[in-house]
Amino acid sequence: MTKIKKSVVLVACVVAISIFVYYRQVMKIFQPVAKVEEAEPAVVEAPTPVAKKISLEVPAGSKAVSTVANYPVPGDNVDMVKFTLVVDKAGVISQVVMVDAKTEEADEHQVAFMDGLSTMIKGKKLSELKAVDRVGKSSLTTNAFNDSLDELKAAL
Amino acid sequence: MQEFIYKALGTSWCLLVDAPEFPEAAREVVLDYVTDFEKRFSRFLPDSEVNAFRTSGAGEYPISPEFMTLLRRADRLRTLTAGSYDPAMANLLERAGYGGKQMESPDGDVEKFSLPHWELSGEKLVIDGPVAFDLGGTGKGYCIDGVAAVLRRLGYEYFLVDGGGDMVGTKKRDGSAWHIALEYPGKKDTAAGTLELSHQGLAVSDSFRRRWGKWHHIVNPKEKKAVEGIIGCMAVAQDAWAADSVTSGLFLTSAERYGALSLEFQAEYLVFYQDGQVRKSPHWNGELF
Repeated sequence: MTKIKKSVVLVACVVAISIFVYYRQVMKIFQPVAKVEEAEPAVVEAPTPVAKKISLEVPAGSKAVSTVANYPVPGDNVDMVKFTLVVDKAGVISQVVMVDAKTEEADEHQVAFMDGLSTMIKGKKLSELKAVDRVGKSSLTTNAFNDSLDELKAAL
Repeated sequence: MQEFIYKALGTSWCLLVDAPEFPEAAREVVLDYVTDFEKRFSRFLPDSEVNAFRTSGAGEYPISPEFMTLLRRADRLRTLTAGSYDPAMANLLERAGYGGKQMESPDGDVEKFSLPHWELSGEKLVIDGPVAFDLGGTGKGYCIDGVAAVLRRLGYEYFLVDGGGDMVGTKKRDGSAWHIALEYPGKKDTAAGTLELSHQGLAVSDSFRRRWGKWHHIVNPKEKKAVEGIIGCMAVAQDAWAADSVTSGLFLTSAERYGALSLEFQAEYLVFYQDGQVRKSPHWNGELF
């Protein structure tokens, strides 16, 4: 039984690390190229690196397991990331925490992996959408959206 | 494309079946399934299984295999949200005024609510006294997948099951995905984005519906109040049940736990906040406007 739990945690660690490494590489590839601008006389403050202290909550009966992973990043560098998995009584992961192995803080990529990316969505009017089959929405909402679809489809 | 619209679980359902025909006999089988599900698991029906322990004393009780399956998922979600999701809160909803299908004023007794303790042991439910369950947040997704299973048993391969805006779809007969618009929470004439749904489930939940006074239907039983700050959540996963579970978890837990939720259910998600910010999982695969 212990062997099974250990192997499950090991596989989960490998999966979590693989997903993060893949995500990190994709983020690096699509990182916007900084625009070169004329230097201005005004004093410009250096951007503050986004770092976040991560608190770990281990409920009674659960335990935390950690591992440090090395992975290559562009520029022949190697980053070290510490993964901590909180595993419940049944041996199932309840939390995934990832921090810089040296500082124990999470940078913006690590936070994005754990918490998601913050973005803005303005939305678009229904009348601008084409060829929609259905609308995903909260139940008991007004049927106006789906009702309008028939009119929209008829107008296409 | 065959379309079948019906009412169940207090909302409007729409089946899109990409087949030459979808006869009355097949529709009857679908209706029988959802009617039976509602009869067994709706907290609004006094004889349902979720209401079977309202006057029970402490002890171990056998329950049906399907109820056990539903409670196992609920138990898992309870762990992932550190107890903020708990189906044993039907009585809290009732005290808050959501006792029937119509919302009423709270009876002022909310503070006296104490969350009953329950756990699963083997094939039995263990309780420490009377408990009433509410499977909102996971039950409908399970039922949507159940309808999909019925359609497969009837021999249909290409369909979309839309249960009040949450859905599961295979693909269309021509191999293309279902093109789904996502309603912006609280803006009924606006889409937040679109996505291509193929052999996946989608769940959408917001705090604008089923709202009464200071309350809406997403309630944190530990804090004994409705969740504020988040106005809506959307999730895509391998089926509707997983997606439904994730949206409930997102509403009820802190962002630090989103990674574990996403990993557990292999889901991608969007969380809409009151201040206009939206949190997006790193691999959300759909167009956002």
